[in-house]
Amino acid sequence: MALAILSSVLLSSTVIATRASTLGQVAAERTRLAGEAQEHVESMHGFRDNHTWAEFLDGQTSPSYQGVLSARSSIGCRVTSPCMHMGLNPASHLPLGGGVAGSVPASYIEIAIDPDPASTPPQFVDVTVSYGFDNRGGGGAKYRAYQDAVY
Amino acid sequence: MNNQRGFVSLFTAIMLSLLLLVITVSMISLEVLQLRKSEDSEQTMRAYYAAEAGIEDATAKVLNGTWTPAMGDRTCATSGARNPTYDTTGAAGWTCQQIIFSGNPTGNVEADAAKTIDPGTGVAYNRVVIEWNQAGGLNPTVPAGGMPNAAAYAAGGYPPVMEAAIVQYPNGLFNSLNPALQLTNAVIVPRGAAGGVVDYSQTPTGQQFSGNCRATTAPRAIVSGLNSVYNCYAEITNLNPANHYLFRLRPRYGATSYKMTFFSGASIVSVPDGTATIDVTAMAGQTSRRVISKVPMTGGAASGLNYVMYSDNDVCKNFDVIGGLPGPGCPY
Repeated sequence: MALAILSSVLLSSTVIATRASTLGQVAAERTRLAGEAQEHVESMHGFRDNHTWAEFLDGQTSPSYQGVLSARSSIGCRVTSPCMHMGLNPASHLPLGGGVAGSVPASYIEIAIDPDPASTPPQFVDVTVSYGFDNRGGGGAKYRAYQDAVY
Repeated sequence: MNNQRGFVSLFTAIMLSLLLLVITVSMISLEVLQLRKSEDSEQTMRAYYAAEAGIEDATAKVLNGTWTPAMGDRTCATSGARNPTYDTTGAAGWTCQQIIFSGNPTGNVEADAAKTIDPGTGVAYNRVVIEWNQAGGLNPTVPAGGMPNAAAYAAGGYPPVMEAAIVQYPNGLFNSLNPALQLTNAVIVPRGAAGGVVDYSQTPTGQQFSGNCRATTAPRAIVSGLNSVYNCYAEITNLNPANHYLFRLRPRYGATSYKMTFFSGASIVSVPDGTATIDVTAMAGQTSRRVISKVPMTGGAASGLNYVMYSDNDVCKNFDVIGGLPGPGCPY
């Protein structure tokens, strides 16, 4: 009987502890990924602060770089297509097309840009940053997102 | 004997189970804490960026000059409501967005540099007190007569002379081409305890006035309702509240701090001081974040003078056209 009690407690403890550990690990990784997503948004703010509004939206040809609208593409978008992200190109943080993987395995970060529909060129853009990662063993985890607006 | 061994085994099993239970519960607590930290961190970030969006929105309004006459787009009276035009999912949004143009303009100006104060058009006033300089041991009285040169002025230990250029413009939007614009220069010279009043209605441009100055900065009552901790002050009276004014302060002979206080009758009124304070609170779930930002204002009357050159005397401009014929040169 003692052996049965010990076995059942040991088994359930192991299962619960493993589950809790996984949850905690996922939470820690999601926090890390949220921080990386925040870096993309701050990088976008920096790009806006150091360029004209027209360059921020559409980039320029010489030297050539994309703006947040012209950079959008469907490559690697998991939540909203088209999307973009901020990346080094070659040494400055600039808008690049599609989504990007974060440092967490099987993760993604992408930014959807919705220009102000009431004006041309838009006076502001709504920014939705989405990030998430696939569950271990397959299956997509629910992504997280937050919104900002850039004028 | 067997019963005793069985009891010991059972007791040991229960003790081990309890130990395992404690370890498991501790582990679960730690992981739940991690989960809560993660959720809090994400909610905080969502609330922060919602507030940041509110700051961006208000900044655009200030810079575009499209802020509402009440100088506040959404006040905290709507606390609890989410901005209906932002984040339609209702998950996050700003609950309070205020634009505040505060108080009495204050600051510092370098010698011979100018600072333009634009009190805007929203507040009526009929007099303004300019206070300047904060230093001890000064000689507060510049001798009557011609102004000493810079070296003699510095050697005399006087507070700076304050030159106040006042641009009067009629009701309505500022237009630098409007012939009704009126520019007046008042040169306010420290004259000890004498003077301290500049009657605007009697002010021919360029005239000298006496600034009321003293050697110390100990608090003193200078006009009704106003105590001063500056060396000097001058009260510009008889401004027409139906008109609007720009003030450009330029200290001569030395840098100075300054403060301007606007009055409507006997009451002190607050005017925009060229800086808008934007205060936004946002919520994501039950998490609130507040962001406060200060934005230098443009687009007001002062920006209408950005490309205007004005002087006490005639201004002579000599343009040379590259590759063209030489110009006639100055003077015309």
